[in-house]
Amino acid sequence: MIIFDSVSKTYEDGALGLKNVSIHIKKGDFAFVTGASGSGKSTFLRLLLKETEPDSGKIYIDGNDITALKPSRIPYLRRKLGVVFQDFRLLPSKTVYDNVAFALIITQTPKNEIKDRVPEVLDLVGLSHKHLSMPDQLSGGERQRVAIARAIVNRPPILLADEPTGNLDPDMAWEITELMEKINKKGTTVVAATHAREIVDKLQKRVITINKGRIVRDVECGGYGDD
Amino acid sequence: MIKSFLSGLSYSVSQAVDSLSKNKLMAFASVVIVNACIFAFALSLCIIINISYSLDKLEKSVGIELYLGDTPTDEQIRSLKTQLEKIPHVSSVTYVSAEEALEKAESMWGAQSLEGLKEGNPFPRSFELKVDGIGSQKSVLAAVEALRKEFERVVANNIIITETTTQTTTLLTTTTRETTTQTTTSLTTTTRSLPYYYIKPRDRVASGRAARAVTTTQATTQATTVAPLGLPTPGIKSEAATESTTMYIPDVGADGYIYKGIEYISHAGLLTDTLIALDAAVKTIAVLVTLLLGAIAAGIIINTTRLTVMLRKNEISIMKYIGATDWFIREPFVIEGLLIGFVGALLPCALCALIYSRLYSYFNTSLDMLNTVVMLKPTGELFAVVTPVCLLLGMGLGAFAAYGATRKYLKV
Repeated sequence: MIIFDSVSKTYEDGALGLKNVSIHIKKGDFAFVTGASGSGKSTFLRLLLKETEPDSGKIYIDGNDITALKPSRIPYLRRKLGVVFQDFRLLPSKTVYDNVAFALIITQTPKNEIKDRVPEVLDLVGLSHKHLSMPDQLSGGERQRVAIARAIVNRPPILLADEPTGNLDPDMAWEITELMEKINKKGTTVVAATHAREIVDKLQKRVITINKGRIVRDVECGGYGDD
Repeated sequence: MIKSFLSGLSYSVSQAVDSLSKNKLMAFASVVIVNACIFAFALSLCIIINISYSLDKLEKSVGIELYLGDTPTDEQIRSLKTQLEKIPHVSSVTYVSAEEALEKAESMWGAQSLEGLKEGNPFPRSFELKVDGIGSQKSVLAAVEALRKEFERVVANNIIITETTTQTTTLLTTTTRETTTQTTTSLTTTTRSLPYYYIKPRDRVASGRAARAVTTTQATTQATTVAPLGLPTPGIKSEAATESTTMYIPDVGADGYIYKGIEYISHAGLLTDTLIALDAAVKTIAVLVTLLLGAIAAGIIINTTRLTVMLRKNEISIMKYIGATDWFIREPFVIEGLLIGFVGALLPCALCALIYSRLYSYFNTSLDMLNTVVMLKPTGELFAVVTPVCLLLGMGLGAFAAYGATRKYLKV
């Protein structure tokens, strides 16, 4: 599903991103990407989202070479990648329902379909009862759940999470992780960059560790390991 | 495809309206700013259009008047009219008879004030020429001058100046014992009788009545003394008078020549030149001021829009991460800009129109004596132009500014 082929990236100010990284994440995988700050894990996600370009190498998503993608096609790529951020990034002036529905509106989904799918995902994340609340009325965990709902309502093949539990307390963090696992069991490939040692250890999924731009560890079922 | 475009548009419109209603204060501030800018622009536009209008009207009213003498016949005048009409750039030639001129004067100053004129109608016949554009004034004038000389030769063909020369010679013989002296005195008198109009002003007698004749006298005296030889003869006077008549045809157009056909040409030469210069200057200034105000309005509106978009940059970036296309994100902002521009421009136009219509009616009632110099365009006509221009400017700037401002934050 996701292939990195000898990808390197160095930033303009000289900071190292990735150095000759090759990874293959299969469809349906659940992979944690770990590493210290500045190790290159955020670069990994940014390259997938086309926020930045690699200096060399190729990146394939679902068989397509995204390194050759035209800027006008980027939005369509991102719709295939459900993204969840550490700071939730909900639209503050919209209700929970509208925040989730927004992801469908931008793909010009017919109204009746929206009416079906939004409640479906809200139910999945357990927030049906709060569909009219505004983001500032929700707890951190609830906000992240809305973000996840929004990320998956378009039924993307991949769910990317950038420190999804970073702003949450341990209980909520675990709830969110469980939710992601639930989604993964339904067939979505999940890639989550994280610092949360306990969660990685507890879940025992594939762990890819990046240090100073290189992959230092790639285990199928592993714990957080050493940084 | 059209259906999806329309549904997308209706979404954007609803988003724009929603956003404006949620940020009422900001929207209000933006509208007020556009109001101010467009108001200034509209005012200057009104002033400029009116100045141009006044100048145009003034230019068209400037004309050339030809005052005719008493000599030309009706036939000659008719043919003159045809000739005048043929001059390029002459838009109209109107004949004003003496009676009509008198009526005009009477209507302007009252019949009573004209009663003192004893010689009947003193007003000459005249032609009023209108020129189609002020730039052609000079060329028409030159053509009229040329025609004046032609016409003069036609009219003055039968006038003859008579010159009579009389020469008198007197012979006087004086004899003394020793000598005989013969003195010959010759007197030449030339009388030139001229019609009044041909006499140069300085030759005219101070009392105002002309000398009907100009007489020049030349006397020569010759004395011869001879020694007494023959018989003395007492003084003999002999007279020899020679009369010669020479006919002159007047030299038309020479210095000091006084015309009998077209006596006087009146044209507002200085006014014309002034108007031509003024016209060009005013039109240039008009364009510059308008452009300047438009640029200022543009700058202010663009800046304001940038601020409002900047305040929502987080929203924009979130939308981009989720996979919204640039246009999808941009459209509501552009529509917001259009709406603000529309409302922002409509109000000043309405206000301006109101003020202007008051001014217009005041101008045409209380100040109508100024009508000959300054003319105002009717309110409806003026705002049929000003309103669309302002609306276009406001909406155009609003949309353009929104487009430009969002571009910056769409780079994710």
